Amino acid sequence: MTRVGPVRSESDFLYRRAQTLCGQGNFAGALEAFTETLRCPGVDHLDVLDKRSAIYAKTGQYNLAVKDAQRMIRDDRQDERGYLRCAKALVMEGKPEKALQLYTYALKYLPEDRPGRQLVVQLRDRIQSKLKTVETCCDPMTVLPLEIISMILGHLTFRQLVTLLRVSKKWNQFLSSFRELWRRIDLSSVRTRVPHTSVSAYIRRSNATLTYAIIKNLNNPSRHKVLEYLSRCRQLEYLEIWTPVECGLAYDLLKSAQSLRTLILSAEITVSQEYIAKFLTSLPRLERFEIHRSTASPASKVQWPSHLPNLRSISLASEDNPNFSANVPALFIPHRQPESDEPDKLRLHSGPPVAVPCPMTFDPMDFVRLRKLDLGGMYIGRTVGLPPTLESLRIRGGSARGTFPFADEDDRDFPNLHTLVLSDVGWVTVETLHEFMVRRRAPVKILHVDTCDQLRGPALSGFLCEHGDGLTELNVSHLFGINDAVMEPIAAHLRHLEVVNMSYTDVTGNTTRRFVQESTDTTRRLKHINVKGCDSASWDSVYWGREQGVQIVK
Amino acid sequence: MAANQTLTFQSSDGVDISVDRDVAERSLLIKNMLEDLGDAHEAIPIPNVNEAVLKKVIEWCSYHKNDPPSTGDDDDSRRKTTDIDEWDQKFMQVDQEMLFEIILAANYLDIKGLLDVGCKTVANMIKGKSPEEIRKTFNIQNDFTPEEEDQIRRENEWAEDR
Repeated sequence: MTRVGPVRSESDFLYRRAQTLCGQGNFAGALEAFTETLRCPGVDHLDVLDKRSAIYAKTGQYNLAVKDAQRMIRDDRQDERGYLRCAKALVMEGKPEKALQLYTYALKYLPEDRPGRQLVVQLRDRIQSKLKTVETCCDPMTVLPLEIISMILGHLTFRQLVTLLRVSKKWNQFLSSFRELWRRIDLSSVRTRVPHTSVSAYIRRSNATLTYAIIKNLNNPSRHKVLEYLSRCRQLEYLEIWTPVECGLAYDLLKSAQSLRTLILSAEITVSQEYIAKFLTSLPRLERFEIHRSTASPASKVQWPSHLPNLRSISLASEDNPNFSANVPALFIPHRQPESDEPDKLRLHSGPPVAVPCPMTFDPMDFVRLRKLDLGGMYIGRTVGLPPTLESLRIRGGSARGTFPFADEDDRDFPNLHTLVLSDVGWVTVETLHEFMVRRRAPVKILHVDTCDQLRGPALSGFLCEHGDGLTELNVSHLFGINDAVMEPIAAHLRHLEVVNMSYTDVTGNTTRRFVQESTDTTRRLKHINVKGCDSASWDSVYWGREQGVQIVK
Repeated sequence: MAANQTLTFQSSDGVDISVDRDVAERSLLIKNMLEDLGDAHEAIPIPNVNEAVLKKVIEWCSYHKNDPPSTGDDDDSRRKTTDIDEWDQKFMQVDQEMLFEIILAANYLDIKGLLDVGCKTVANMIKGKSPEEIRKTFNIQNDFTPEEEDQIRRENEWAEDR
C-alpha cells in the first residue's frame, strides 16, 4: 500500500487485516478482506486486485485470478503488473502457451521506457525457450507401441521398474497390467527395508505367475508373510532367500513349490541335514540347491532320496566343528552308486571357528558327470578320487597328505580340466602342478596358487616357463619368493596370459613394465595386472601401464 | 546382383533419397522385399518415415553396413547391459521426437541393431532417475491425487535409495 496520510482510513485497516490473515494462512478471510477493501473509495485498485489475484491463484482458483488480472490490464494497459499477474496464473494453470501470447501482447502496450518492460521481455524469453524444449519431449508410453515399450523395459532392473510405477497414473496402470514384467522379483540390490505389502502387491500384479524371486531386506514380521505369498506361486522356479527365516517354517511353506528348480538359502537360515534331505525329497525337480549354513542332524532323522534325477548342482557350507559322533555331519553327501543322472557341480565349504579339516563322506569319483568340484576346508584322503570329466577344480585351505593326495589308481588323464584354483593349500608344490598339467595332461588355462606356502617362486617359474604356455590367467598372490627375477621369464614365456595377479609379492615396477611391454610388442592381449600390496612396485610403472591400455590394480 | 547397385527410397513427404543396396539391406523389410521382387528399378516408397528420419536411418545403416548379422537367438535371459558404443551414442544425441521416430522407423523397417540401440538409449534415460526426474525428462504430468501418490510412494519408495 503506497498511500500515505494522517488519516487511518477504513481501507487501510481492511488492507492490513487482509495481509495479516494471508500471512496466517487464512486465505478465505484474506480474500474477503481484500474484496471489502476494493469497495472503499480512493483505494489503489491495481494493488488490491494484484494481491487478491495472487491469493486466488495460490488457492487454485485460476479463473478468478485471471479475471482480476484482466481487470488490472483493462484499468491500465501501460502498467506491467496486470500482465505479469495474469501470465503467472496462466502458467500455474498449466497454460504456458497462453501466457506467452499475453507477454507478446503486453509488449505492444508497455511504453519503451517503462522499467517493468525489461522483466516482461525476460519472462517471455524464458517461457519461449521452455516451451521449445517441452515441445520435443514426449511420453514414450504414448508414442511407442507396446512391443517396443516392452523391449525398453527389458533393459531395466526390477528396482527401476518399481520406480516407474510412481511416474504417472498412465505408467502405473500400464506397468501394473503388464503381467510378464512382474514374474521376476529381485530385491537383491536394495539397502532399505521392503514392506511385505509391497511384495504381495508385486506378486498380485504377476497374477501369481511369479517364476523368479530374490528375497532380501524384509522387515522381521514380513518374512513369513512373504514366504507364504511365494508358496502360493505355483510356477516359482527360482528362489533365493537372504533373510533370516526359521528353517522348519520355510520347509513347510516351500515343500509344495513343486516347480522349484533353484533354491538358495543364505547363511542367515540354518538348515540341518534332516531338512536338506527333506527339501531334496519334497522338491524332486530341484536342479540347483545351495545351503550356506548347514548343520548336523541325528542319523535317525536324515533320509536322503535314493535318486536325484534332476539335481545338477549341490553346494553346502557349514561352520560346524567337524565331529565324529553318531550325527550325520553338516556337509554330508551320501556315498552314491555311480549313475548317469547325477550332479555335475559340487561345492562343500567347511569354516568352523577353529580350523579343523573336515572329512569327506563320499568319493567324487562316483559322480560320473562331475564337471566342477569346489572344496573349502576339507580333508582330502586317499579315498577321494577325481573323475576324468572334471573341468574345474577349486580347493581352498583344508589339508591332505602328500603332494597329490587323490586316489590315483589308473593314472587317468584330465582332458577337460581347464581351471585349477588352489588357494591357501598347504600341500601344493611344483610336483602337484606337474601331476595335473604334465602327467595327467590337464589343459589348464586358469591357474591360481595363491598363498600356497610350500610353493617357491623359482621352482614355480621354472615349471611354468616349460609347461605353462597355455595359461591365460595366473594368480601367485601372497607367494614367497615372487620377485622380478622369477616373474620376468614368465612374462617372456607365457604368451597367452591375459590376467596376472602378483599382489602382496616382492615384484617391482620392472615386472609390471615387462608384462605390459611384452603385451604391446606381441599380439598377446594382456588385460589385467594386480600388484596390490607390492610395496616395491612404483606408481610410475602403474600409470605407464594404464596408459598402454592395461587395467592395473595397485 | 550388381556389387553395389543404387536404390531409391521415397520418404513419406515425397523426397527421393538414393541408397547403396548393401546399406539398404540392413533393413530386413527391404532385403526381403528385394528378394521377392528381384530388382527394384523404381523408387521404393517408405510411407511411415519422413525425409529427416530416413536420412538418419540411412546414416546409421551406412556406418554399420559391415556389422555381422545379429545372431537372432533372442534368449530369455534379459540383457541388463545398456552399453552403447561411442559412435552410436553420438548418433543418438537427438531430440526426443527424433529419437522416438528413429525407433519407430527401425521397427517398421526391421533393423534390429538400430532398434536395439534406440531402446537402450531410452532405457538409459530412465535408469537411476527418481520418478520426478523421469517426469521432467519426458514432460509427463504427475496426475496422481495426493492420496494416491502417498499410497504409491509408501509401497514403492524402497526402490529409490540413494
